[in-house]
Amino acid sequence: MTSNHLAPVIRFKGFTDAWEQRKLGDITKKIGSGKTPKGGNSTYLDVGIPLIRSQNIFGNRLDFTDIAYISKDTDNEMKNSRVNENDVLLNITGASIGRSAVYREKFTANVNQHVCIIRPEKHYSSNFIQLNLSSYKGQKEVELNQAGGGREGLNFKQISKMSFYYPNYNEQTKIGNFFKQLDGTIALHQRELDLLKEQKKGFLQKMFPKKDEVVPEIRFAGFTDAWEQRKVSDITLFHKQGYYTKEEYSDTKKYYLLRGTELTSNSLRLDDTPKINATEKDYEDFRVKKNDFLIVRSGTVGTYSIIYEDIPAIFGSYLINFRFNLSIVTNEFFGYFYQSELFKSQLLKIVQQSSNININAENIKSTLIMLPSIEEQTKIGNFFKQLDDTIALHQCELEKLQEMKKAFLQKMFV
Amino acid sequence: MSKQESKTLYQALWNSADILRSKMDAADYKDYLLGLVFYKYLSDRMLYSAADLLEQPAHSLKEAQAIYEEAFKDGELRDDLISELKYMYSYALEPGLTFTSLVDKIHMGQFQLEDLAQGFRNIEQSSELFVNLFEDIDLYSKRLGTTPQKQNKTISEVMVELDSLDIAHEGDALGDAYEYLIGQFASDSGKKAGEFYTPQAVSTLMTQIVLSGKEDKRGFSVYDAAMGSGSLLLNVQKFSNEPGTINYFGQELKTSTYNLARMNMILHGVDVANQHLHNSDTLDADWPTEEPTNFDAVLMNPPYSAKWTADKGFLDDPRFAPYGVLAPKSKADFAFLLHGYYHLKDTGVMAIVLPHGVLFRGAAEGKIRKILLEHGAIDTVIGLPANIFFNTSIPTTVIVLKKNRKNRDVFFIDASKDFEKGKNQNVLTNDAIDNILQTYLARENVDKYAQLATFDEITENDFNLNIPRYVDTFEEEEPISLKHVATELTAVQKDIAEAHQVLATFLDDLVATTDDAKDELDAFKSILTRGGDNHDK
Repeated sequence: MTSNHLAPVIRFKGFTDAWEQRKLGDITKKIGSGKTPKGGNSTYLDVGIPLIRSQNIFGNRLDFTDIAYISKDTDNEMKNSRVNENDVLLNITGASIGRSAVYREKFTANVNQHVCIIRPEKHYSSNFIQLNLSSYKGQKEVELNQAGGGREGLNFKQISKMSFYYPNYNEQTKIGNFFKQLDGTIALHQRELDLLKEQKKGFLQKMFPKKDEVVPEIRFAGFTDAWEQRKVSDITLFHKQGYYTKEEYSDTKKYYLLRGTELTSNSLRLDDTPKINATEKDYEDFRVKKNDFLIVRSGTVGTYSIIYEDIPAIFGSYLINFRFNLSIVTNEFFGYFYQSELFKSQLLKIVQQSSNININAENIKSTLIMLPSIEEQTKIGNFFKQLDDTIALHQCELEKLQEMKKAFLQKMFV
Repeated sequence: MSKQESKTLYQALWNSADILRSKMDAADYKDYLLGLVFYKYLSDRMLYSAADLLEQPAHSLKEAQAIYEEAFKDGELRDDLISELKYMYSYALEPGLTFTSLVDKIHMGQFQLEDLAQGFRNIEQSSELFVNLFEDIDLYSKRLGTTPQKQNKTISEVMVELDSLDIAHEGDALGDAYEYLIGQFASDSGKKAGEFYTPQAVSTLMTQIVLSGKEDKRGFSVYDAAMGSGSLLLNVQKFSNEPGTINYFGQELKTSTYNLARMNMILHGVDVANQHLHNSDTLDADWPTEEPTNFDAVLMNPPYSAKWTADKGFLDDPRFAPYGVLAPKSKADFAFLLHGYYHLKDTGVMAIVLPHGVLFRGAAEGKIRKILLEHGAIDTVIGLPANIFFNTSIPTTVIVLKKNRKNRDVFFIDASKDFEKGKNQNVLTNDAIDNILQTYLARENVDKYAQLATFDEITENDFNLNIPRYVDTFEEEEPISLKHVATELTAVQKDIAEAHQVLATFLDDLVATTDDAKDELDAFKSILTRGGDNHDK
């Protein structure tokens, strides 16, 4: 590495010193882990000293929800692996290898053999070390150090040899605080997104009539008529099960093949959609048309998508295509009905257990729907569409913030 | 047998399995191991009995062997002893062929595989009961070793390991240990060895259902037309108060599995007169065709959705004729069911495990189901949890059938959520079994668990028996307070605005050392301020 790389491209004002390379072993008081108490799971208690295991460690976050507890005596036997405030904890085996977090609690805890304690010397910040471990470079080191095949994990020697560049303690702290703020912001956005989804669920509960009711609890002003109960078969003009093909996919082929995957989150996405060829007749029989209503019939049962424009696509055998009588029901309204409890309570009765859960068109047609006037349906459809769009935008914003963190991790470290 | 003892017994069995495990699949080595355990059982039992007959009760196999050898030296005594033993067990091994003496030879380096093979032959030829019992045990198989020396060594090691077992004195325990091993093989090798094994929990449930009210009946007869290792049949022994009088009828397609069932019967102490096992294809010619042909109980766990010929000729077969159609070629489920039902007494009870598809599939299966329902044949449908069998993860159902019912209602029990998660399988707990059984016996509705459906309801549902149609397990969503969500959203949005402001101050404090980095930094700043503005509104 050349000398002009010894400082990151973005750093806080007032810091100009070059960063220095240090091995973890040289700047830590301790690198080590604990063990599984004799007797394993059966010795875990409901209260006691928390025993942190790899499943409790997430990206710089400790999750105590399914924490195991050990007795004081066991903790005493394992006093070498007691965790102190500001220790960095790193998963060193298994699928979650490389995940790390700073222990921020005042109370003591212990760790098992899958979690390594990294306890920095004075003048080295735990947050800074954790950030380095979670950076692309740090993860790369974890990956490279895994001896043979990835299953064996990291040993303490390898960990102590991991080297990163360090500025002085003040700059470390400042960088640590900045990322803490960034993480906090991301968590808030996640919370906001969850609440928005919860809000939609709440509206779904209140804007469709409950079982045995004919009007919903909340509805748009100006509508007072009772909703009418219809069988889904009464509002269906046409339905057809999708096209079964064993043909190989190729990007140069003519038609998109729509599968359950394309319908994830109830909207059509053509990002990784495979393409196939088909005879003209098959295409004519199985092409999707504007205003088709596709539902997944196996696996992710309960998912659907409305076709809004003509696309050169064939719907596959895991889908059923419905065309509804649009003078009685709008596709959007049917979709939100399909998401509502009113439908879900019926769905449970009609799914068929096999190696995968299944529904068929006849099952769906046997369900009951409550219908208001087309005008009211349109209003309801638009309203939920707006909620969905808002949720999607927030989702997008959250992803952008996560990207931003990644970019800063690249640019603010050496 | 105490828990401690059984643990050692299981442990020793499992250790011997270890010796073979490196050499072949569980599906194959089970034949060797179970065969050798069985041979040791026959040998030990005989030695102790011989000592008793000679009125010199032995405290160890060594003693018994010595007494037996001694007696053989006296010609007259020997002949009496042999005829007495043959009367008791129908076989008598020469002293040199007992398991005990073979192990001695192993220790002295004089063991020949041929001796063991001779022992097998002697047993097999001694009675109809034992014919071909050891035919799956190829002592000269290349899998045991590439040279005769290596083959000899492998078998010797297993025999030495088994030698520590005192199995003659634990009749029942050994039978259970045998079952344990079969179960272990099943879970060990998944599909291959698991096809002949029904998990104990399911066996227990089915057995108690068919036996209920008849626990004291003498001469109870039970038939399993797809018996596998016979564990379902033998379970009846555990719950009957007259276990010695039970008559077992079983049929099995695979010869090696059929032999396993025969050994299992003997190990469980079932009298020769009470075993009626048959090695043949249930879906071919009918069996049994000679009296008795109908039984107090039919228990079955047939292979799921097996292929069969569905030959048109079967439409004239009295087993299938009443239904006018045959089970589809690719799904023999109903063929097995109808075969079993055909052999049920008017007062009998049948329990069969099948995949859920039989409850709702249409076409021929729909027609058969309809006729069965119209006859009131289907008494109860029990939905079991998914992934409780060794060879398949699909959810299964136990269907209880009866003849001559006064009613045509069907009782549904949805036990699909009654399980504990195990390592690879879900486990049906004793509590869950009890609960199912009590519910079955009470035949009363239990909210979200059990429902009695009238024939009219069944008709309304087009004779579709899919359990969720009758047992409503829908849990209503927690009501969400929009007011609460709104308050929280407001708070979060306020926090976001503040967080963005703090972040913005951090960003103001950052400097870029290259032009590229500066551009990016500026872009980030604008994102955050924009984001902040949005949330301030």
